[in-house]
Amino acid sequence: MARRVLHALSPARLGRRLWPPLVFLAILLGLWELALAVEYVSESILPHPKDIVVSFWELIGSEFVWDDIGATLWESVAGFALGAALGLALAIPSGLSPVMRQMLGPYAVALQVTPRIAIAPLIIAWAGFGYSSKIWIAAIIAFFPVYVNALTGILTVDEDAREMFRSLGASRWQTFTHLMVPGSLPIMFAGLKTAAGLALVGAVVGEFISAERGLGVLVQQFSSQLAISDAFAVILMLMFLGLLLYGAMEWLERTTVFWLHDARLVARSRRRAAKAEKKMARDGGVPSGPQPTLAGRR
Amino acid sequence: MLAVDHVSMKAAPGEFVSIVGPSGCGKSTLLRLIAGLIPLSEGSISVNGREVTEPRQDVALMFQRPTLLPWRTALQNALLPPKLGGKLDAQAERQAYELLDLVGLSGFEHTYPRHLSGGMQQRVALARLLMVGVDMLLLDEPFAAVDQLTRERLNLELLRVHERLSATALLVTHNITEAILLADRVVVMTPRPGRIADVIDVPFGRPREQRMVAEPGFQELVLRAYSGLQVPLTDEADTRQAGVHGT
Repeated sequence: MARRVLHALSPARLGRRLWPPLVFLAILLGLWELALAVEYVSESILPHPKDIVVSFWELIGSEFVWDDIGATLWESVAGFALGAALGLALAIPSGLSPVMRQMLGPYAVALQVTPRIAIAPLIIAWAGFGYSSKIWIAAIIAFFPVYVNALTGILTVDEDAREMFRSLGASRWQTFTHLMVPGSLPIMFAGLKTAAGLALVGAVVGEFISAERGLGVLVQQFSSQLAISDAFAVILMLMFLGLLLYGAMEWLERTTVFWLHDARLVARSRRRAAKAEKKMARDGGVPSGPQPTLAGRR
Repeated sequence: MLAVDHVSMKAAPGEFVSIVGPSGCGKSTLLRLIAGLIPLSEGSISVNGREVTEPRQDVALMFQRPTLLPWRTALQNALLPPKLGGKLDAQAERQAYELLDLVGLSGFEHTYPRHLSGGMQQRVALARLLMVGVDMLLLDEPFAAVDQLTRERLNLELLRVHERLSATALLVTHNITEAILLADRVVVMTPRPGRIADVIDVPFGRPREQRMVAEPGFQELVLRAYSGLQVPLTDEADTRQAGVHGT
């Protein structure tokens, strides 16, 4: 396992994977500088890339920006958790009962086709200017992909596997915990990943409308002051926040839905085999050789 | 809809019976009726002298696909029946090791299905089936998903396992050669609704071997089975209820 990781991070391999995006970045920065050099755009609208980097470091060094980062991160994470919890709480009964599905289906679609950002000002009016309104906005936006994907996951659980569980006399609860839940996890995680990104969108939208703290507030302030490089720097921070949330979900997916990832499966197989061997050595009974007990077992 | 009509048969304990017929002759339905997975509209089915009304612990159905749970190792998949039955203990675990060894999967106990070939996955499914401790094995084209050569080998291994278990086996297939090679008796069925056309006793001794297929006597049985299948098909709507009788 360690060798695998080392192999993946070896300079040659890393170089092969890194050069295509780096070449694209160089082209982009070249065009950017060219546009500024020929004065196609003014420096007051589009700052030099290096100015953005300088602004970024200055902001990171200042104390106030961390409060804003913390505010946006908290709103996104709490909103995501709330939206995901609501999505799962409704998807599970919908997946198990056709009546529930018919009951909720039209409203789930209605909520999906409505631009949910339009609800944001109302939520600010109801929940106030503090964190809770942004959390609710993030939750409403994050809810839908979790609901739809969890529902799809439950509904697409292998019909043969269900019949197998029935033939083994499994209870409804056993079928749910041992088959439906793990079986729907892969599709559910696709929804959770989308929702994590959307929760950040919701938090920033809420901050745009009315807030005291948050990266959304900073972008607005810097833009209105024409501190464009600072505004760009904040957008960079939002990108990093987004990457952080997505990366966290990706990591959670890999550990939870381990059976779709070869390296994890191999590692788990080895661990289990080692554990079983240890247990066998301890108990002394090695299950091999002749098996006189097979016929007439019960 | 009427799937199976006037099918009456008996299988002795330990006997291996094949049911062969074209698609739509109700072979799979028949197995699901015996497994207690679908209710019987008329007639009766008994296993071990007890009428089948729901899925039972002494009757086990093997599906066309292995339907293993990808998040459980071969051993854990084999241990699913005792796990669901609340009887997961050291003895069950020992039994699972033995059965995996019996189906030729020794050394692969802790491998996940994703890293097992189609044939190996179906062997795990067989081990899981045997964990139930059945008296009646219902096999619904168990190796339909693997290639022909693997299938032939798995079939003979299945026979070997069956001989050690003293369980009654009921194999459904549309492959006549396979049906004859494996069974003591072959039931030939015709479709829409499923009816019995012929019952063939297979005189070959055991253990069976693949090369028996080439013997003249075997070819005669194949021809007889084919002629049994040649019953004019009628699309006449039949509203009578399904009746299955057996022991």
